[in-house]
Amino acid sequence: MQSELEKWLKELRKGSTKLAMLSLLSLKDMYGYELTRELGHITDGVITLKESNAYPALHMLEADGLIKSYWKETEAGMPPRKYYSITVEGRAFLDDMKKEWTKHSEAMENVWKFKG
Amino acid sequence: MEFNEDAKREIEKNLKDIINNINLDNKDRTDIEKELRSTYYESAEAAARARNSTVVTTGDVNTAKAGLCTPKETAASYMRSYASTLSRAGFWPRLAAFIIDSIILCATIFILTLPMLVLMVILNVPFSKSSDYSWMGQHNPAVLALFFGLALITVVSDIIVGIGYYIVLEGHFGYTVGKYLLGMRVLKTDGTKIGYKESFLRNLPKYINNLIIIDALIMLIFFNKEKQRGFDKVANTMVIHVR
Repeated sequence: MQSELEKWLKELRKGSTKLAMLSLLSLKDMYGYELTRELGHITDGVITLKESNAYPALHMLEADGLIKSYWKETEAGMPPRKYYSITVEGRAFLDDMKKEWTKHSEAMENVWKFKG
Repeated sequence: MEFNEDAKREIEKNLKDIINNINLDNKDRTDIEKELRSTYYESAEAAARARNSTVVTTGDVNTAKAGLCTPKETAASYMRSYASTLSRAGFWPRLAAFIIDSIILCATIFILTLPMLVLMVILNVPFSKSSDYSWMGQHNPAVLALFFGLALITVVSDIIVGIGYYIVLEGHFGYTVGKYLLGMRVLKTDGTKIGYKESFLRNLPKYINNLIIIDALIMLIFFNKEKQRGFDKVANTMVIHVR
């Protein structure tokens, strides 16, 4: 039973990852490690992204033109960071996603409330 | 924050483990490596800070590592995200690789068989008339034992090399010599590395008569767009260009 729940959660997370990442990037440019750390922090660990999932997901967002990346030097002794920033298309897509998400969660509310 | 040399080495070792499993062109590989390097450094630095140290040690790198995915998982996950954008190799480059591999295979088998051929000449063993056993009478039993021992070793090693070449090389490395020289890799269609199972399945037609020719035709006629032989379809594999 536990693994059934986990399977389902995995699917659920897959859908929300893109939305959560775009949403954070709409606030400011972030590098991958920062993004995954912030996400875990804000959501109290409910949405935790491992780098092995986050970076490929970022790559796909970039390939779709929703975000852009650039390298930036940081403090001495540390390697450069790859920063991601949201594009105009990304913002538009994020707005659409948010609307759909709200619509979906409202619809689910109605399902919970339904008494037959 | 300072990183001690052991810590840096440990990070580079981990990066290498990941990058070795990334079958992309050099630009993408370098990009991935740089991004992961930055992650390892940041993560290890955070671990050092958490224990109030100003020097990052191997222990911090290991703490960081525990919070990250295994190199294999990380590489597989990257490859999955690239799977649909990989450039698949078609008939001609694959035929070229096959010819190179065939030459190497023939040469290897010839070299393996050479000692026995030399011994056959020395012992006057007839090359064509296999029913002529008169040469046996000219030698003492020790020499004959040596000859048949060598013959057995030769036959067995030829069979092992002949069957193992494609299956073992592709199963283990994901490429044969020919594919390596021409910058090609065999991957699962989801972009991840193949194993022995996939390698065995996709290479089966190479060992059954001329089935490989039919299978190549199947690719040209039916799966030209996917650039997969029939047995690639069965094994869920594809051949891609990495440069």
